[in-house]
Amino acid sequence: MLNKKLTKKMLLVFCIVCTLVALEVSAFAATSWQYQPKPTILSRSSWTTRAPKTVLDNRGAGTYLIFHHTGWKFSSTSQADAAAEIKKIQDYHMDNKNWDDIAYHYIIDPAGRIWTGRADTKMGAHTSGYNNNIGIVNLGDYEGVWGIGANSVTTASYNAMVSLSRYLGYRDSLDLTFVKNHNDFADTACPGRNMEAWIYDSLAGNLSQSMKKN
Amino acid sequence: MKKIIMLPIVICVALASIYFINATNTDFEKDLGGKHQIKSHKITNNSEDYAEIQLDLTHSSKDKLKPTIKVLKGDDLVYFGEKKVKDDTLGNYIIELTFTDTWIQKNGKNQMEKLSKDLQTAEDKSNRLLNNVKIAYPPDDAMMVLYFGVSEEPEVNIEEDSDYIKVKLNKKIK
Repeated sequence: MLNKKLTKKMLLVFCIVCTLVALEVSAFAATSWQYQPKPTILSRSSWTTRAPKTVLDNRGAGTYLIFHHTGWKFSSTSQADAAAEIKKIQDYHMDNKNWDDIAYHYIIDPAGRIWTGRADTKMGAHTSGYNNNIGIVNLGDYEGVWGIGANSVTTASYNAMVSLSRYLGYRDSLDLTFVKNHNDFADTACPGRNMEAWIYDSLAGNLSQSMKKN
Repeated sequence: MKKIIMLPIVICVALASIYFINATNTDFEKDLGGKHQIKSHKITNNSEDYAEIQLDLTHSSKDKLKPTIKVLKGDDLVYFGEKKVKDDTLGNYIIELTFTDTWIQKNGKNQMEKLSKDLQTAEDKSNRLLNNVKIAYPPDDAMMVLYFGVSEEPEVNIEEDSDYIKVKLNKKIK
């Protein structure tokens, strides 16, 4: 009698556990990206004629989009100024740091333009140990050092971050936890305190709305 | 009467406030950014058993520099551009100091390149521990590495003050 009762109880517990596991698995498997259009991305030739120093290594499959700031205050909304600023960064990376090209795969300016950096099929030079992931930099200093004052995320640049992240997330079938700050991987202030919260609190939440239940 | 006396005092206080609110560190290079900048450096000692390098700093915050220290063997790979390579010019052992959010000012960089040349072209290379110095940038937009090449296995100590950091290298006693 006692054995029968115990067996029934065990069967009940087993059923509950199985149901919970099934629910968890189906919830995980049932989300995928809705179609996301490619945003307007300005070509590399719109800001530089300088080619990489060498044939860059292929990037392979990455897991994250890693956000950075350039750390140099920049507030202009002019396309010509942004092009000149990106060229300045490329020259600094190639001449001063002796890298093969600009470090990042995409650049976003305060007016919300998205610019092509190094080819996104190639390894980046933005986050040591994680350069197989796409690096996206926002022009500006979002930390505010040397008393110069910090940039704030503009509505236009935020919208550009959202549309680019959605598109890359959809294109590469990335998991929901794919947006990261540089300082998730290194002891650095990058991408600056004025940018960090946007990435986690707002961008990540916004992206989850682009997923659909199958 | 009271008002006449108070007025200049109020004006002085207001001017002083404006001065201090707008006061910024002018000892930095705007183009470099970062939280810390190395302005210059000097070798204060380089004998057979002991070498000391002083790096002069300026900071944008009260955060300490906290470089990570690694002692590598002479044939270990070191950063050059985006890759790692073997560098025969450094010596039997290499001290790798990795800094984040720290850049070296133009003057300091030129100084270090000249120092590297001087150390390598010196006629008498005996009786000294430090062989060579180099700057490198790992593929990370917040990192910088300083290499100190030495002839003997060293013990490394760092002394850090608000405006300098001293790298002290002692020949390891076996």
